[in-house]
Amino acid sequence: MEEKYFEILAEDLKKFVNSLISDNFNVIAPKDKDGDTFYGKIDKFDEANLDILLPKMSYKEYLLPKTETLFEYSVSGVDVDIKDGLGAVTGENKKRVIFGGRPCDAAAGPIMDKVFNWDYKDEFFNERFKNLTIISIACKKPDNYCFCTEMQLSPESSYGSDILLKKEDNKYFAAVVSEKGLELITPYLSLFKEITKAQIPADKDWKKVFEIEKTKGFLDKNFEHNYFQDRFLSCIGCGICTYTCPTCHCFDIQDEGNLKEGRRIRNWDSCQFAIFTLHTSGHNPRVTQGDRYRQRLMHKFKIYSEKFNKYLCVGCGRCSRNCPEDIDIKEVVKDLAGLI
Amino acid sequence: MANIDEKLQKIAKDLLESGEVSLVIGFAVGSNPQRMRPVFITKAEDANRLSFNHHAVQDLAVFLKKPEVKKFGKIGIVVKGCDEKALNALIQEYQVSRDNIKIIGVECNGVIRQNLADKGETAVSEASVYDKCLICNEHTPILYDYLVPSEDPKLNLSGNLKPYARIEELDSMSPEEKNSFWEKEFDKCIKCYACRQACPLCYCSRCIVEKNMPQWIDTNLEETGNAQWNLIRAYHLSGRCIGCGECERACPVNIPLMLINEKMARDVNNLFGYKSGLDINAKPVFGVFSESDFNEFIK
Repeated sequence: MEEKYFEILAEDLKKFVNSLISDNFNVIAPKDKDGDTFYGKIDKFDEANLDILLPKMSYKEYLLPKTETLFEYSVSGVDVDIKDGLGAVTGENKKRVIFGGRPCDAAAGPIMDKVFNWDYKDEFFNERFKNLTIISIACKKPDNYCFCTEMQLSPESSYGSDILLKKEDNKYFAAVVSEKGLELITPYLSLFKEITKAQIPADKDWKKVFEIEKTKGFLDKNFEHNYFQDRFLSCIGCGICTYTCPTCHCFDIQDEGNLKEGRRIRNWDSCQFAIFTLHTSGHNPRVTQGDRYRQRLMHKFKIYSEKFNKYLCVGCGRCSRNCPEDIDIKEVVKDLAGLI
Repeated sequence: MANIDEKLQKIAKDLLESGEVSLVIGFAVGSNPQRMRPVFITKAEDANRLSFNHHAVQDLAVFLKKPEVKKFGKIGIVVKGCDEKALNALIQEYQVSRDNIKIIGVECNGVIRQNLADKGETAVSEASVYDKCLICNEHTPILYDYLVPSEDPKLNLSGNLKPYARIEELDSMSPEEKNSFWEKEFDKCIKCYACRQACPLCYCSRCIVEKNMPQWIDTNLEETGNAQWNLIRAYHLSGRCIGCGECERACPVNIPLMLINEKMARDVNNLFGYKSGLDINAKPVFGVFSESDFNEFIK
């Protein structure tokens, strides 16, 4: 659709969000908890922390829950009753709004969408994605772990958002970039003042510090390079990088139950675990943690990009900030870009 | 360059040059000045990367369980007092041979909580260090081959702060209240297993959650699976945890795991008079039976 532009006073934005909540929208926003900030459901605008750069975890769980029931079964006599898990998703998921996330997090949606609709159309993901409206706020001050600009995005990118807000003193400029976004604000249009694109301050000239294409160039030719084994000796193989990542989407399908009843679920999984690739024979093609970290790099910066012409990374830097052993992925991909 | 760094570098250089070890695991300055990171030195000329300060939060003993690290054979390792207790426990449990390890102990007067350091905190104080530092009796490591003195002033304790205060709060709760407290905490768990991976004493080559014939622990990341995982880990660490707090520091969703570990450690001390990691010649508490053992549970 053709983008539309609006201006909204900070106090009216508050009214808008509070109206969404009172009109039964499920509003998810960065929210302070346990001395940190996480995405969570807010009951009023003031619960949202819009000053934080990024919540500790991404909002991936609203697209791909930690555990999702695919179907349930129960057996009575010779009858087997099977209940599709999709029904629950359709019911729960109406009218969910992510408010106050950042452009990097929003970009993760369409990037995951490509995987979940590549050959098999994943109804669970699609149902959740379809019912999610994303209102992001452009960043003014990325930190040293951020590298969205290198990842073909920018702190002001609207890719993946339905509405992108830019704060300026006591008002926000809103770029409404999708039908979903327009539909969301239409009942509340009295709070918004339509303007032209020219009235919105231009994006800053964000500078790149390395070329991600060079990282890919290195990965293309150096699978066996010593860098991986040496550099990732310090990796302890926890799954934090993958679990806090907005785009890592690997899952594991498991059955839980007995002869009478049970369910098939899919759980988050991580390529950083040794068991991820352990064969029944006992052989493991990824023997060392270096092999496993290399896999994460390969998937993000080579394999995915060859298939979908984009990278499986939005440069949010969560994996670096949250790494207990201080492995900084920006430093790593920059190193690799320099090694070519 | 800080004096402490020079001393560490000299020790590492000598160890590597003389061939006494083939690897030194230590700390280096990390991705920002308030972060330190583990560094693996195999060449004497790289020893100048070693550094130490009150941001050196990691327990490097965790690396001794990695097959990639084990293959280096003789290893030098930089440890704070708490981390060194992990080495002792590993030696007690025959995971590490004392003969294969050169312990480079550093005196430590407390490390700054990483979440505070990330917000710019650089001063060691009662309010900025981890609870483990407030109850620490091993500012100087118990066992070492080399000792490097600290350059930080001694931690000044006013006595106003109560480390792990919530343990007493929890003790006074009813079982239902305790249950609802932990249900809420475990609900946050994402089963990244960072608690396990960051733990120097979680060294099983195949963890019980990975044993699936039969599947002992529910795989889901919901109420049952999360509770089973956290409870089984608590019991596997009882009488073994040395209190380095790495599980809690690593946890990306801030589950207060040390409340569990510290509580279990206190109970083991009260019931069996045993503290983990203090003596490499002591038998692990669950590895021995004594007639005087607490047995009130046998009715």
